[in-house]
Parts: sequence; structure tokens; C-alpha cells
Amino acid sequence: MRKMNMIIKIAKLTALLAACSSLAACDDVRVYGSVGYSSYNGYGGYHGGPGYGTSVRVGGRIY
Amino acid sequence: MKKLPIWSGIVAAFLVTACATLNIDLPPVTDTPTGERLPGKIIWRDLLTHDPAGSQRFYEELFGWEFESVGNAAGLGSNSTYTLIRHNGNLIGGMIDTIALNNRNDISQWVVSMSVEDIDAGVAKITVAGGKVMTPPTDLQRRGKLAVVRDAEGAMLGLLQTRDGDPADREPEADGFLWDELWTTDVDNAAAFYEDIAGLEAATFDVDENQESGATYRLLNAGDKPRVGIMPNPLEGLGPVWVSYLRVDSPAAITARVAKLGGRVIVEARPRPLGGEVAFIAGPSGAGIALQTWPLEQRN
Repeated sequence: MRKMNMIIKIAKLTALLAACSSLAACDDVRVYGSVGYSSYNGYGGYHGGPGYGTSVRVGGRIY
Repeated sequence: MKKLPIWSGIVAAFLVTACATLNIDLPPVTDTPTGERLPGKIIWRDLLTHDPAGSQRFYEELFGWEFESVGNAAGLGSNSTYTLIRHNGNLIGGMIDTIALNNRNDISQWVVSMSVEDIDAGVAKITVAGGKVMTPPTDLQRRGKLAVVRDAEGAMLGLLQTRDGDPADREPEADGFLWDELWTTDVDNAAAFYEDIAGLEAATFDVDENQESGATYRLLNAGDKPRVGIMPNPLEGLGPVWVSYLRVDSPAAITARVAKLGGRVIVEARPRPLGGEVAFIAGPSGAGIALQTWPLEQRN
């Protein structure tokens, strides 16, 4: 009897964990939810300001 | 072991059911779809930002853009907001509050979406060509199917198969999007990647014959129509990234107002070898965007 109660409890816990796991999948519908990071990396990736990179050649449309 | 209350199971079951029925229904990328797809064309741009209010004010003030929140109507959930961006009444992009996405890192950036004829085929090619699929094709109903991927160098973009067709090609409006360009580490490899993924054809363009780097600019064409450009990343420390350009009358007039609106000037306005001027700025969230005069003959 005691063993049976333990099995039932484990089954309930497993069901609850499975439900929570399924909820995590809701994030999948947010298509940008798995982006992870930005190329701009916050503000640390490059250094702006007057005079910065006077030799920097930015592209742009040609035709 | 403490007995689990029965209500916890009921709540979990309810939430799972709600999740299963959750749909995202975003408006199409244009109010006047052509009914045909234009593979390789950048047909949408999303601004991911941790500061939607600041970003909205920034673009409203500088470019006169209009913002329309459709978060709840789109079924994204109460914590997520999606905002449409219009210019002169025309849809030009979207804005997403990244706080609701629960990312551990700051993912603020502009993300371009490239048109593909068959998204499943496009995504299948991504991994073969050395890229990575971040989000598999997701049905956004009226908008079509969107996948988020990284190319072989790591630059992120969306692949979008529209449901009702892509926006027609037309002349860029002032303060609207003008061009899209990949800044990357290996131009040749990137050109081959996008030739493969989107069926584009790369051509070398000599931007400035007086500089060696001029020969490394690539135009990716669909037939005789230039769609995007690829060039070596000009900024130290910046990872491979797609950069969108806005058509402006005077980059210098814009950059003079950027700081007051919470943004930063990364590259001050300067002449281009081919004519006109260009600048590169970042909004309040750090997402970068370039400014260019157009047409080329326009010089300030």
C-alpha cells in the first residue's frame, strides 16, 4: 500500500513536471525568444562620438 | 513527500491547453500585397528593443514614424507587445518589447526579414551552408511563415514566406527604408551563402577604385535588380550584422539631434565616394541604423 502511494505521488509529480515543460514550449511561438544576443552587445561593442573612426567607410545603396 | 494539491494539476492542464491554442496572427507586411514573392528582397524589419517607449519617441521625433500597438490583438499574450511601425501611413516594420521575451542578454537590434519562396527549403539550406536555425518556421497567419536564422558568419536575419505576396518595389521615401547591407567578416563566404539560400547572384562593385577595400563590396542581385549589399565590417568590435539604411535629406541634421533623444552617433555624417552622405547612429536601446542621402547625385 505504501509502495502504491509512492508510485501515485511520483506519477502526479511527473505529470506536473510534464505540464510545466509543455508551458515552456509557449516561448517557441515568440519567434525572437531564442535570439540569445545582439551583434551590438548592449553598448560595449563599439565606440561612437565625434571624430570616431574618421577612416571608417560605411557603405550604402548604389543603384 | 508532501501531497500535491489537486488544483495544481487542474491549473497546469488549463495552461497547457491555453498554450496549445495560442496563435500569433500578425498583419501582412504590406497593405497592398502583390500576390507574388520576390526572393532575396528584404521585406520587413523588426526593432527588438528593451526600451520601446524611448525607441518610439526616438523614431517619431527624428523621422516622423507612426506606432500602433497590436500586442493583445495579435494573441502574443498579455506580457508581450508587438507594435506596427508606419511611415506616411504605409507599413514599414515592427517593434518588439524584448523585456517580455525573458532573454538573459540584451538582444536589442534591428532584424531584417528576407523573402523566400519556400521557407522549409530555405531553412533546410541554412544548416547545410553553415548557418544556424534559431527559430524554426513559425506560422504568423496573415503575415506568413517566419524563421529566425544566423548565417555562416553569425549575422541574424529572418526568412519570411509571405502568405499573400511581398510588397512591390518602389522608390524609397524620405525618412523611409532605402537599403539593406550585411557587415561581415568574410565577404566571399557570405556572398556564397546568400546566393545559395535566396537564389541571389553576387557581383563585385568597385566602390572606390582608390582604396583596396573598394573591391570587396558585393551586390546581390535577383536578375537585374540589386537586393542587398555585403561589405567588410567597418566597425571594430561589432559582430556580423545586417544594417538597414534610411533615406534622409541631411544625415548631419539628424545626428545633431540623436543624443538629445537618447541615442548615440557612431559614425558622424561624411561624404561617400560615390556621392551623397552617410552616417551611422544607434537608438536608445543600442540598435544601430544607417542614414544615407538619396539619390547619389544629392550632395550637401
